[in-house]
Amino acid sequence: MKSLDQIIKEHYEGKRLSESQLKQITENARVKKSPKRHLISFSIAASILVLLAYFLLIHPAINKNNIVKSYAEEIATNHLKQRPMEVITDDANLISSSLPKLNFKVNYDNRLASFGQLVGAKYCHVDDQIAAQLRLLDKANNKLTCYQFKQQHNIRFEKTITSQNVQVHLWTQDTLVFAVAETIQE
Amino acid sequence: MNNNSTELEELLNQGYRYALALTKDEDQAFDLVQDSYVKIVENKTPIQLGYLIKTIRNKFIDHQRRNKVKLKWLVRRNRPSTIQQPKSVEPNLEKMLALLSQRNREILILSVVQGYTAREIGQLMDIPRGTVLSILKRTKEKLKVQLSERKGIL
Repeated sequence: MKSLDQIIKEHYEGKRLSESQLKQITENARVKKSPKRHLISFSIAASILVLLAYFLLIHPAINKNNIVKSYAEEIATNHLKQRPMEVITDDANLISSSLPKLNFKVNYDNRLASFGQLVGAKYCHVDDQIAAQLRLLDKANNKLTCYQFKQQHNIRFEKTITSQNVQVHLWTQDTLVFAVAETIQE
Repeated sequence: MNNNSTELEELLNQGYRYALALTKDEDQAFDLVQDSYVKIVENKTPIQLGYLIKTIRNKFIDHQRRNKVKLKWLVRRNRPSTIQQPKSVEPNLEKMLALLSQRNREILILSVVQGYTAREIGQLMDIPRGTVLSILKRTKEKLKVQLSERKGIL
């Protein structure tokens, strides 16, 4: 007389996969073998590349644009106030010695001279940095304002941005940021 | 046929028997074995019976959870023909086993057919060894009574 275990065992051992089923299982595994895994690896690698590209190329560019734009907006607002000068002179050296809190030497080179004649200066702040604000007069006697300050971000740029009907020309030179603001004539 | 493929076939057949105990359906069992084997090969894991059993079990639970099992297998077409199964040693056994709960049948098959110990079954199914033993005992007693009532052989 067979035991229950023996009966159950024989019952199940009679159950087998057919040749075609076995073939299908092994062939399916061969076909499906790697693409999924490769796809996952590829997706991860692609994601890392996109992130790297963003942080190395796109993010700094966006960040740089934002910084320059914020300079231009602050300078345009400041230019429109047309605050009175603290030093009235056309001598840049004299301005430097008259504004001792500045952590750099005021510059009035040919490029600035091409915008207008230096007539005076005062302290101001741009991006929370102490800055020199120079008053220039162009040939038509329009008041232009020049800003000079040490930059914190160590970026290079040369741009013209319009904000609040003020055209702001910005550029970097060594460690300084230069900006000349002029009201757009109607 | 070389030794490796024979061993693989035997292993797949063992997995199939276990899958049958879970599903009570030959087509579903075939699908479970196929999906599980593909997963093992994709993961480049060494093909072992224990791992195959575990994968089949996880796949079965997944399918049940998603409640897509019936739909999936109902719409399947062009499947390879299922082997003509030999007549059961005990004609009533099939029905009796089918009437057991899935958990009790699974424990019985793991113990009797796959030769798992109560501890191994407990680890696989995440239940205490004592529970495995008591379920196994009750299930066997129940089957014995049913078989003896019908055939008077035990």
